[in-house]
Amino acid sequence: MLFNSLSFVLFFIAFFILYWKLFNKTAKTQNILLLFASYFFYLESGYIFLILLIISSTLNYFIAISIEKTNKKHLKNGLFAIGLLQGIGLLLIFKYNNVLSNIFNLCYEGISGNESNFTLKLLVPLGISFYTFRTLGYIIDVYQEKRNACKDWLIFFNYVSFFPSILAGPIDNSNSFIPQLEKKRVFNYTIAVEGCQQFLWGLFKKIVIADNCTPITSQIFQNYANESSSTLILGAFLFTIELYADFSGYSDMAIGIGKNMGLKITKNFNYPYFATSISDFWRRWHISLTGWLTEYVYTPLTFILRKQKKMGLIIAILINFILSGIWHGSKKTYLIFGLLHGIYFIPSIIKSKKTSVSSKIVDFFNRLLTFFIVMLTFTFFKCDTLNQSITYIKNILSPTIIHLPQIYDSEKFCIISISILIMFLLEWIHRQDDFGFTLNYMKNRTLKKGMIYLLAFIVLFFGSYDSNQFIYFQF
Amino acid sequence: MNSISFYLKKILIFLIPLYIIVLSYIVFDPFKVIYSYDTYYENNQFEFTVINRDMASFETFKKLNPIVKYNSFILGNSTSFYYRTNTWNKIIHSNQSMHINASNESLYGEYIKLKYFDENNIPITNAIIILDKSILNQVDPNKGILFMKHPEWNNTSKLAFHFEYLKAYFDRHFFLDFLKYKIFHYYNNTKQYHIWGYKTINNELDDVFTEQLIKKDSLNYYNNVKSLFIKKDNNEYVSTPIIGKAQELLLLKMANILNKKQTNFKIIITPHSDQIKISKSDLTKIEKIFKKKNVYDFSGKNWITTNIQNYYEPNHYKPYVADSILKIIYQ
Repeated sequence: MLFNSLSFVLFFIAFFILYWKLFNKTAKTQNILLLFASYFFYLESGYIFLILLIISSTLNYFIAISIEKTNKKHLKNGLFAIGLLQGIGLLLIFKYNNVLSNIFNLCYEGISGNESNFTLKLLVPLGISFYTFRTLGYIIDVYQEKRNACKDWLIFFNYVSFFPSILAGPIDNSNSFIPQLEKKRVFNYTIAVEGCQQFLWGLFKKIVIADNCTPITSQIFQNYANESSSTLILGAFLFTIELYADFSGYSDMAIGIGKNMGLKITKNFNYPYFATSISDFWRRWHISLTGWLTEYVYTPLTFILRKQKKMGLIIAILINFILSGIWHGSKKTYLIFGLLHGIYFIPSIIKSKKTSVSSKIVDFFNRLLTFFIVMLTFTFFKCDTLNQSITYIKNILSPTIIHLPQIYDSEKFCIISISILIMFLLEWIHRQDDFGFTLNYMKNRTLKKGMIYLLAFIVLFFGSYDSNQFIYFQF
Repeated sequence: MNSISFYLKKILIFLIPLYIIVLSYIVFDPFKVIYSYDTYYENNQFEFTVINRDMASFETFKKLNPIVKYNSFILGNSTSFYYRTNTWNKIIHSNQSMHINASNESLYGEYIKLKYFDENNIPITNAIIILDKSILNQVDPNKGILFMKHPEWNNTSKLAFHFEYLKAYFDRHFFLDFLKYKIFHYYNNTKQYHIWGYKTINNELDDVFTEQLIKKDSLNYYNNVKSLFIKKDNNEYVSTPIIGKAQELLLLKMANILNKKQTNFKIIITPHSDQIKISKSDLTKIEKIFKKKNVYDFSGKNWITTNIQNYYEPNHYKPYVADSILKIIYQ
């Protein structure tokens, strides 16, 4: 169910009224309705996947309680290993089954000497990477005694399947989210209104910017072999914007919905294209995944590799970024995307203290440079094969760079250009706020209302209503 | 508690402009999908909106079937529009025939129509079924407001159907042009609006607009459209096979219904001006499923396709060509 679909609007109106009017007696009644709604929401991806989600939640629920209860270390370790294996196993089976098939074929050929063409093709359950990372983080926290196991199955199941963020995050940490589910939610008018504004802002980014960009970027990336350098640069630029508008748009909508339910969802983006370096970019981009990897991969690795000093840090960062790349899937281009970011990150480790003088002009050029680097790495992200991405970048470095880019749909291009300007302008103004359309500084209520109407008008008449899926649903 | 009521009230008030737009959509019904109309085409007048032909076919059928009791149907895409029911009626000795076709019809669409007739005990004494590359290629429900299937053909969601039209109403070009047209009776001359001649009882269209242009200056008309026709050489071109498992299944289901209802049916492989012949394997499959005696292949190079004056433009042949085809197949 897409947030920008009629079915979701109807679903949420019904849910909202029931949640605040009928089921608002206790935290338990609210959680009962929330779980029912989350499963109903997820059911659209298929009942088999819903069953898988319930099984995964049940397993993690019992494993965490058992880890906490047992005093025997080896049993604790064994349960922890089971917890990790089932989570990683799920991801391997559904997301990396082609890698598993290749490994199987290699082993079979090595043992038997005969050629093997075994292939395992499975549909990827929607949101599997997101809910598995939630449960993995939770199991690790319980094992490391950073938190107690959740004894209330209703709360835990809600944590895993929370509908606004199950399909594309943010990946909320159990320590911040479970306590919210334990308490009865109380309606807060100001926060709810802010939630609506954030939802509208997300909708603008998704259907006015990202969905209008999609046909143009798809066309350029499909015809990359015949396009001029300037067109390829335009394609890479628009994809960089599209990915951000699509993903952060989804996050804004999810957070906005959460605010209307009295729940605070982790912020996932902090204006990443205003970053002045790659390390700064990763503090602002997909924050919940970066935070997860930092806590559960990077920090333990740096501890293990502490004797290697800076080299240990470099190895840890490279592993961390490669994992961040292949988290998206088994394509080699994701691995290269992660690796490149890891490499770009290294200078910030070597240079332990900030030596350069920060000024507005320097910051401006650093922002441009960071954006350009990110843009190049996103071509790897977008391309299906390594060959395609290398040819794409190679073709950028051609004399056709001086040609005017090919613009397939000038009207759409005009809408996109103006919308991107609006987005960056508002985000720059609100860069200290939670999202780009808070309008907190506006004291004049009429003007504020006018701004909201204007954005709604743009969404209504300039949005693309082709029901495009969110890019991050595939992960 | 109060604050929730206050919040809901605020949101309802905030949405007032939206209600006004939606209300204008309901009042004007620009795509003629909300209300039932006596006729879906303004006879010999400019049409501001292009009507979904499938929806018009179904609504006309639903409205008139209790009176006419239709038993003979022409199914196909827009290439079937100009088959004259007058000519056909004389051949099949019936006056209960109608066009049940759709723009950009799909094989799926043809199948669900036969299925609907079967499930609702509508007799199909005679049928003409048009097949071509485009129809055979489409085995799933059509998308887009001009081509979507009427939800009652196959019991699909009416809400989703209407929501698609509401979304189309919000298209900024359409919305502004439509308001100008409704309020000031102004229409943009640069846009191609059409004039249809329409016979409601048979749901039959005449391309009055093009006929007028041809009548005015046929030489000039064909000089203008000549470039649209694909230039041909002397070679014979054959299409690559299209019929796969999905197509075969739908064709088999269609044949089962027609046989069950003991229909006198004719399958016409339409004469396209591209002169590309249907592949032998596809033709063999169609002949095997519907029996050879019922299948008539007009694709490829022949007396129809080699003369551009048999066409209005590359995709649509003229009524007299359709008449000739009828005579040939009912010989």
